[in-house]
Amino acid sequence: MRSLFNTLILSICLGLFVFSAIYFWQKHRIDEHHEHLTTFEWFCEEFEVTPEQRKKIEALHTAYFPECEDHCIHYADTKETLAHIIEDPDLDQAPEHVDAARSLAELEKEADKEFIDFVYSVAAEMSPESSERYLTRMKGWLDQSTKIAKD
Amino acid sequence: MKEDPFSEKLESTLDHLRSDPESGDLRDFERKVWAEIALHDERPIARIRRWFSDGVPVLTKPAAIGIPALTILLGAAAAVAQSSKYKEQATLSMEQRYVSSIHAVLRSETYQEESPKS
Repeated sequence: MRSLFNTLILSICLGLFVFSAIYFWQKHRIDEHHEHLTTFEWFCEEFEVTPEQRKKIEALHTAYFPECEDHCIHYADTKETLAHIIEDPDLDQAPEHVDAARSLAELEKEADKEFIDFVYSVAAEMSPESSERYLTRMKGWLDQSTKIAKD
Repeated sequence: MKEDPFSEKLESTLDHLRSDPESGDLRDFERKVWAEIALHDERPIARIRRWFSDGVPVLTKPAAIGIPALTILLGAAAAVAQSSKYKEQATLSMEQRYVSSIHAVLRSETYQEESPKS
């Protein structure tokens, strides 16, 4: 027979110990796994890409990266130019302002189009289930990019 | 020898008290008074310690084993749920990195966040 007080103290200590041991062990395992993973390796693992599919998809990614990089730099430059124009009250509604804003909007549309084309080309190489899951998740990011561009 | 009136009166009162059924209650009352006095004289720490040892209910053996076992199970379940949440967050972070590498606008935002502000 034990007193309620002693039992409760012992139980709380045991519960906390078990929680900490399992949680930190799992956290360490997850961190260690993700630490040594490239984004492409993560993609293959997450969407269960087979070795055969991997070769084709990797080639698609490799071909697309430089194009995306150029587009990214162009977009960042245009955004910076527009930010400078907005800061200058003399250039308010000036042709430069209108041009930069139009150019940025076009680049955003182009980025979305390239992204959609790319994800569909990747999805075409995947199994139907993985492909559907991949497209659904990528669509979510497309909505987010539109929101970011508006902000 | 003739007793004086006071002694007679005292004797009769004592007899009355002895024959009174409430005299037992009187002894109980006396005991309770002494217990209260003893409790009052006790030091606060000793009093708290005594409250825990005497005042807190004791558990039967199955309950004393069952409560720690239940908290171990609850701790394990909470840890599994929490680590699953952590895994979801880690996956989301990897997904964000992946998407940033294939979407020009998101990639540009990532660069801006990473690069130091001038």
